[in-house]
Amino acid sequence: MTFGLVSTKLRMCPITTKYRLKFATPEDDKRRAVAFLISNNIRATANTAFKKLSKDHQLWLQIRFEYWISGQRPNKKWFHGWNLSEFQGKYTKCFVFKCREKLQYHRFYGFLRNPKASNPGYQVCVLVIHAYKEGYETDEADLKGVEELRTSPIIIRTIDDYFRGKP
Amino acid sequence: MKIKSKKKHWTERSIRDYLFRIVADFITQLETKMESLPISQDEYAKKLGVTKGRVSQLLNHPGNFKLENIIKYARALGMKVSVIAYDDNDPQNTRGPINSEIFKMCWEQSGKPRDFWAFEDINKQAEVAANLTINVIHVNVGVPFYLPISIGQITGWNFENVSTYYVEKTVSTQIEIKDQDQLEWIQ
Repeated sequence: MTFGLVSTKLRMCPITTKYRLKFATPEDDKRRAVAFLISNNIRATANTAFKKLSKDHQLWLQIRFEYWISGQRPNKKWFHGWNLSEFQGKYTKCFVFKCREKLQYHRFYGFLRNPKASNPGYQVCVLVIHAYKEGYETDEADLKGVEELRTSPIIIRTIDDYFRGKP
Repeated sequence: MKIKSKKKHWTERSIRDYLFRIVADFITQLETKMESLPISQDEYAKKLGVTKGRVSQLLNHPGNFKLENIIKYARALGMKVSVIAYDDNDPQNTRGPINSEIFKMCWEQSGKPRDFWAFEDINKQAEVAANLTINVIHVNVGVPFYLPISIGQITGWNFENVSTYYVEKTVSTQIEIKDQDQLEWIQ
């Protein structure tokens, strides 16, 4: 009887997937920003994983974010994207920030978007997926997951709505 | 009316956080140097006389670095260290410290002056470069001089009639006057 009741309630109240952005760097930077995608979508794991890192490792990543927004050249050890020669150019909008915590290698995958109509060069890196890695090789499944979120109309709308009208 | 103050950078929370950031910048410079040499973490540990684990531990925990270690770790890679205090018009620290790599790049782009004399010489060379704007140049033959941007942009001269050799030289921002002919041509 109880099971039936719960089951009915679940069917009656479909869970809506919600998204919002949480900025890890100042929003008023003229060129770049890094933000986490916050969502009840279980695939958006980056923010939760970031919060579970030790304080020192959070700072390490924070510094990597700041390097990227300050225009520091990408380095395979800290952060990078994928160019046209990799994976047949399918993931040129994907990006990753890396950090190592003891023997665990963390990867925070995201995607790049230029959301400001008034400032087309402005770029935001939206971090979405977290993964543990053992080596340098990229697991394409992670990038596919990022691409699915990157091209999701509701996520695109969330980002663009946030930046609409901002200089 | 209360004026909303701008949010402070996270390095303003504590001295330890500030130290973490500037040592992290230093470690990033070490890692870049290790890659460019190249030198493995094993070899680096041997040079330092410590275990690889110790190197890894220190490189992953910037908060544990002491100034003595900063010097030791830099010297082991043939590098030197300076501690720089500066005023970037941000007394509340809303934007965080400037990356030490920026200071290094500026120093390198200024011709790596070793002392104040060298810095003065560089300023004189810059004056020479600035004089190009009125098509007058005072430069010693054989002495290289530097331009902050391409010569074409400074002078507005048309380079179409210039020898290929010279145009190639303008691709970089450094031009060396090798002989009297070139000097006369510029004058």
